[in-house]
Amino acid sequence: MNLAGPLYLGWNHLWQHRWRSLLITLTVTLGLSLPAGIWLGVDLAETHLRDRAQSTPLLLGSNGSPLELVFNGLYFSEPGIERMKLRDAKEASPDGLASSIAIYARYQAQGHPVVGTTIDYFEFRDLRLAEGHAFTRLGDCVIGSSVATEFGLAPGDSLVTTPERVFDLTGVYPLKMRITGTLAHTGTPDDRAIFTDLKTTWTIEGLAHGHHDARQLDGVVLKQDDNNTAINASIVEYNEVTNENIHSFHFHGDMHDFPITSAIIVPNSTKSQTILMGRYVGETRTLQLIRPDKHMANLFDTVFRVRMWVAVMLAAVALSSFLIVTMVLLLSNRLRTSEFMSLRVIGASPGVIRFLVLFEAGSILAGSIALTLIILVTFSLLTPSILAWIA
Amino acid sequence: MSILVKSLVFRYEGERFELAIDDLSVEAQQPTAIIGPSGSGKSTLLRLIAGVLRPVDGSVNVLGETVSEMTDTQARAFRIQNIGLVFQEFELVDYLNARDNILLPYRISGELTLDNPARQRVDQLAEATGITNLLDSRPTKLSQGERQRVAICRALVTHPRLVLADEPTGSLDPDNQTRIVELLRDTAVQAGAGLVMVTHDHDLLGYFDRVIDLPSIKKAHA
Repeated sequence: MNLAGPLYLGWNHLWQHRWRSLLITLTVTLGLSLPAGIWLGVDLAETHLRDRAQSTPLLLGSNGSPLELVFNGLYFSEPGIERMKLRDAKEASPDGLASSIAIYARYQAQGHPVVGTTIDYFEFRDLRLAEGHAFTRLGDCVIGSSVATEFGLAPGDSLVTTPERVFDLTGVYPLKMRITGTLAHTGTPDDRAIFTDLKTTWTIEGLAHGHHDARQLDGVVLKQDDNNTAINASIVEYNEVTNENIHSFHFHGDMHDFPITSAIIVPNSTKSQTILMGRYVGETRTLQLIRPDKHMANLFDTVFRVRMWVAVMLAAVALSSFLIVTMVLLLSNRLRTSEFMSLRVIGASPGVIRFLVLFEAGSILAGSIALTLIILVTFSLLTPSILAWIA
Repeated sequence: MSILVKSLVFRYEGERFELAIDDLSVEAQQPTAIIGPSGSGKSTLLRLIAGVLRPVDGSVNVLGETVSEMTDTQARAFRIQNIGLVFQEFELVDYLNARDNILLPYRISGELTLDNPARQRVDQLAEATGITNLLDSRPTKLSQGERQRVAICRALVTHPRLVLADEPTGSLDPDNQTRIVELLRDTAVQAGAGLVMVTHDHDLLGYFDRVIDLPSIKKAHA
């Protein structure tokens, strides 16, 4: 059988009816890529999220939803979770059992989380600087690669924190932070975070502040005793830490009582982990020590069950789309009965007619599969960025 | 004789129609018209001659070959190599341009090779029928008369020894009817092909050397 002829006819038929062919191809593509995309997306999300959870042995936080704690400690979301004291993190990591990395992820700048932590966090997450250096001074920050790309920021530039409530005059004032470094891309939520020292986040919160020396200004001191100095509203409070004013910044209170949202606890051994976990069992405890991977696994067990049902429903939709497309193609071929009859009378064998019909249907299917693969590959390449953005 | 029909009986399955012819011979080099009223079996006879239909009984011999005894594959090969067909509704493929429609027998058949002479033949036929400037147009852009010219070119492109035309002027206006019949006859004669045309239009009979009145040669129904 000469296949060049039917191929030529089939291609011409598809091309002459290209909008119809395209529509059918897109319908089949949608039917294939939706269930496959959901299946793949959940798989990739699980891998991505579970990797981060598995690389975080224990997480300490105030009692409440363990998942909220996981999302705050690992993905810097859920800024409203119950806070704990820095002292709690220190107590959870007694000498010889574990080390702790405090995290205070409550504030934002330009829509990105401002994460107060210590330099240990960079080592723990294996974060490397692409440019500049780590924060060394109050008011310094190191930005993730996505933040740098999104706003075109580099070391030497600055970022202003976002007030929690714009119209709350007694609330948190914005702090202009100096960018000292940008992190290399990791494909994790660290890419879209702004890291500062814990003291800087406490400064954002108002627990530390800097202002003119009241004793050197005339008429601003209203009342003074051994412990406190009351001053009037003319005193200027700094909203940026500079080399000139850094010495005026001071904290009120004991830093160990200052708030953090979570703490990563890194036990020295499995035995240490078991001992630590045991200390946080009991209803009277105000803190919880959790294994993030366990809670993510629980979350994904639920997601998988939902995915199964969604995939089944989408597969049913895909099947109905496929049947409709098949019906469209069959009806289309029925409309072409006269054409096929003429071809047969002129000299085409039944095999040629069958090949022509199969080639057209096969081309649409092949086009749909190719498009689906392109969509899935693109989707899988973009998933880490999408997840980092969502989380 | 080019066409020899002996003791032919044909019936469509499940229908009461029957075509029965005792004896018919046609010398195809004489342009021949087969006439008869609608439903008399003119088109059926043409399809039997082309080997598209098989008789229940009797034989059909065309150009020295008994097509009534051929298998489908043999009949198809015989048809594509020896017979050109022109249909009443032209039966052009709407997604191919006029040139590809003319070349259709080459594209769908394993027996013919689409080579340069075949392509040149298209140009020659197009020039002879006055459609050279329409070769890149699709059938939907052509008038009825132009479409039928394309169909005539398609019937002649394979150098057939016999052209069978099934009421090719049925859907044309009177002016175009005579023009197309003249064109079909002259082009077939120039190409050295015999012509047998089915029509029910008596005004066109003057263009043919021989006229066969089908009802007069049919056997009476049993």
